[in-house]
Amino acid sequence: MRVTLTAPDSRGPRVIQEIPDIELCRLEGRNGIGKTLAVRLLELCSGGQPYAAHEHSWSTLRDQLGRVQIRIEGLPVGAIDVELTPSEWPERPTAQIDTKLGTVKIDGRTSTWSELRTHVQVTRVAGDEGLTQTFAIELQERANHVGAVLEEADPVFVAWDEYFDGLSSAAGSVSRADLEALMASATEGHQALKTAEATHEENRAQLEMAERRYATLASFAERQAELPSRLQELSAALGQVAEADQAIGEVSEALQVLAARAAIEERQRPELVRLEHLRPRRRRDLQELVVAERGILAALGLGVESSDRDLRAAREEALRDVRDAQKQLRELDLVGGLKRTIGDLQGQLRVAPKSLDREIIAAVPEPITTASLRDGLATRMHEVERLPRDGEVAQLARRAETADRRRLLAQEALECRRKAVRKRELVEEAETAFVALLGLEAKDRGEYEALESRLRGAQEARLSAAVRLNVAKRALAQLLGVVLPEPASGPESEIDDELEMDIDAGGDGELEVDEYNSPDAWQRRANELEAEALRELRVLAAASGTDPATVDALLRLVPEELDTALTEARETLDRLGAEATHSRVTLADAEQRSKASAGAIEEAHRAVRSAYVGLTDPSGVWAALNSGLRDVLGVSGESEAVTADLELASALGRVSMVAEWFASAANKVREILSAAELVLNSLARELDPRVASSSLKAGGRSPASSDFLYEASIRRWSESELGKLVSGEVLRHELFDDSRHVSVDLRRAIIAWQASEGVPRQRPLEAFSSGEQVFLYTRAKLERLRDSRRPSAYSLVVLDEFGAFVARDRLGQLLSYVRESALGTIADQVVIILPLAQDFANDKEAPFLRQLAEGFEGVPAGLLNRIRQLESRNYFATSADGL
Amino acid sequence: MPPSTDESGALSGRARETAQALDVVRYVLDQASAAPGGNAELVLPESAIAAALMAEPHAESVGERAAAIFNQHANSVAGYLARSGDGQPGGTP
Repeated sequence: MRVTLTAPDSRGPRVIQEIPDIELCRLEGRNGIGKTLAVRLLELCSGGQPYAAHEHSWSTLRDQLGRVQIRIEGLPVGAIDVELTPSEWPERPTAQIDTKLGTVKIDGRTSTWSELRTHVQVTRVAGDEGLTQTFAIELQERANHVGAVLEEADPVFVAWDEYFDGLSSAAGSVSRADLEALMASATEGHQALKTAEATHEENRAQLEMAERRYATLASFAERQAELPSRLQELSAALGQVAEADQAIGEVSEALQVLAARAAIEERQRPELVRLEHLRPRRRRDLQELVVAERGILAALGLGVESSDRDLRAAREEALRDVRDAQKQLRELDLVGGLKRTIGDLQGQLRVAPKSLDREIIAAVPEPITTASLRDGLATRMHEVERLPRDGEVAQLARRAETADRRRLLAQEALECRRKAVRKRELVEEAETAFVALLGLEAKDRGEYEALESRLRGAQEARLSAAVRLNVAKRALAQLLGVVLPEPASGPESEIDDELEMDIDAGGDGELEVDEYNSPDAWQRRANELEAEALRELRVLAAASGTDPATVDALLRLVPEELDTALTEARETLDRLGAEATHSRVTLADAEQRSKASAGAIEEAHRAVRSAYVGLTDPSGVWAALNSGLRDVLGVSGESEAVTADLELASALGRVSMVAEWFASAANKVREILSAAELVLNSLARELDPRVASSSLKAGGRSPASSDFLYEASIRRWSESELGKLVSGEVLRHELFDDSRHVSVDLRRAIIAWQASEGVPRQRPLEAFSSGEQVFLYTRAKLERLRDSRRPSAYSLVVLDEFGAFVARDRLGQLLSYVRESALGTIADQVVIILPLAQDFANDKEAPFLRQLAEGFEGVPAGLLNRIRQLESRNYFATSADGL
Repeated sequence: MPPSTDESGALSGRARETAQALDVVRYVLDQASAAPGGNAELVLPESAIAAALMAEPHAESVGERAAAIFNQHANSVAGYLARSGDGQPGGTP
């Protein structure tokens, strides 16, 4: 076949114009004219990558060569026209560049590189490569191949990793161990809750007993200290009241005598009787009102001289206090607020139509229906009702209550005053009427007025005594825990006098001496309380395992000793109170944790179920893995039992592990490829530093630990590959004693084999560098081509760079081999490229030679042809038959 | 997975690159499995994964490839992991 080439846009590199259609062609030319470049471009066209170990040259061609047109003629298929586009070639000399190589036409029609390669196969065999360089180039080529695959497959590795990461995630994050740990934690939490409940209940009971004991003791001590003086005050007040009553009685009697002396007509008698009853009654009512008012003033801490304005101010202040306490209560009392809110909601839901039960009432993350809200509120209300009220809240509630009572008392006092004013008018009115009715003489009138004055003095004394009596009774009532009637605002004296008559008819007109006026009654009450205290303390002692005898002794203690016992009881109370508070906090914490733990378990169970369903969904994203997942899962997700969920968690854990293994295995492959690129480059560089620059990517990175991990294996693989190179029949026969096994050891840089007699032999790689051996490698390489030749393709083999290393006699020997063994079998056409041995065009003898060639017969015609070719294109190509 | 060939029956450029890359990976995996502590039973799935990863450079079809390899080898991998108890890809070279 004939090949013509042109590079019209080249900015440097040159390429020869033609390889003629000569079966065994000798192509001899000057250096730098593009002989080798032409052959390598043809190799590229036929699918080879001759620049695998020459990356710098590749870059130069990309930048400077420009498009190259190649025409191949003389083949049965017709002319093949190629246009190479180096500017579009990839940055690295990878093998897979067809899409960027250029265009091809066969017999005028657009075709493919694959089709071209069914018609043409071009192979270059270099004669300037010793064994070590051949090895280096071979390893470099493999390094580039591995690097290209690694780079190209990078998105596949990434997608693979994401795929199995996704599978691992889909298998869920809850392992069986997690689930078991959660369940164990929940059991433990439940146990802790029970313990906390029991502890708190015990503490609460002890606190209650301590409170009862302290209260009993404190009351006992108070009574011991105060009862005698209180009884004395009562007795004294009773005596004063009696004295005043007696004085009043005497004066009243004198007044009646005086009235009897008056001339009262018969018709006036009923009025006189009425007034005689009405006057003391009104006076008594007035006294009661005043007593009541003063009692209230004392309860409010106000003096008797306090004005209405003072009372109104006290009432307003109490009201403000009530409102303030209630406001703070609303803010602080979350429990109360929660209860009120829940109660309100429950009230609303109770009246909600039944038809709403299944309707979603709240679009929270897990929507709830009306019915489930109702149930949930009932459960929560039950819980809230058990929650303790905060101490501060209870204190505020008491404050509000006390303030409200003060407000009511102030109001009551004002009411008493108002009624007293009216009652005083009525008293005056009755007195005036009475005096008018009597119609006394002037002498009797003076006596009457004196008696009236004495009567008012006695009544005033009685009033003071009654107030003291009231105070004494209240002090005793408070001391002995007796509930007295509330201070009254006095009789409803504004009703008409007729009704008053009816009421008065039933009364005795004297201060009623009931049991509250009897010191003995109070003493009996005190004795009863002692007995009750003794019983209570004995019960408490028995409950706490204390000897009841100590209780009896306790009640016999003198006041100072009682104080000490009381202090101890107070300390015990405080200690138990602190313990109860602590256990309440512990209990609340345990409840919280138990609830959280239960929620976490529920969540974990849901996650396991959800992951299982997601993986086994026949229409889900993992449906393609169905058979593999079925094998790995090996369980059914139909059971709801906890043990089934544990099994599911185990199965999902297996899926996750297997998925991670698949991701990790891919990463391992990537590491091996990366290590192979690096190690092969490194080995090539060790063999021949000239090829070292070809690996940019692998050579530019620092070795990773995985590189060292795989380095030995990759080195052995390299030695195996190189061993195949030198195990061809020709080389084994010529160099290795027909040994059946030839091996390469790169670490020791030797080739080892066994001689025919079985003796192991080895030689350093450097020893295989003589011309004779280069000839042998060439033969070996040509022999290898026999196996890789494409049957249908026209095979052009180019023997390049032989002149510098092969002696002419060896070249003849090689040509003989080509003629006899290669042509027709290994190659259809062979071109031998040689450096120009004699420059016929530029030698000083050139003109003479040219004249000789042109003017004399007998001079070989080929000489003139060579001279003309040299002159026109710096090389000549002729048949090699003459060599 | 056999390397692809062009119409002439010879290995294409990419197929040649892939074949060599796969060859070195398989060799290393074999060596690793034969080393002490190696796992011969994982070489097969690992080799299959290597071949699947290098089969073609299109990430779009990774799911199909991954599913095929997973369905074929998941059970044996799970069995190995269960026996070894470590859950890690084996093969210390």
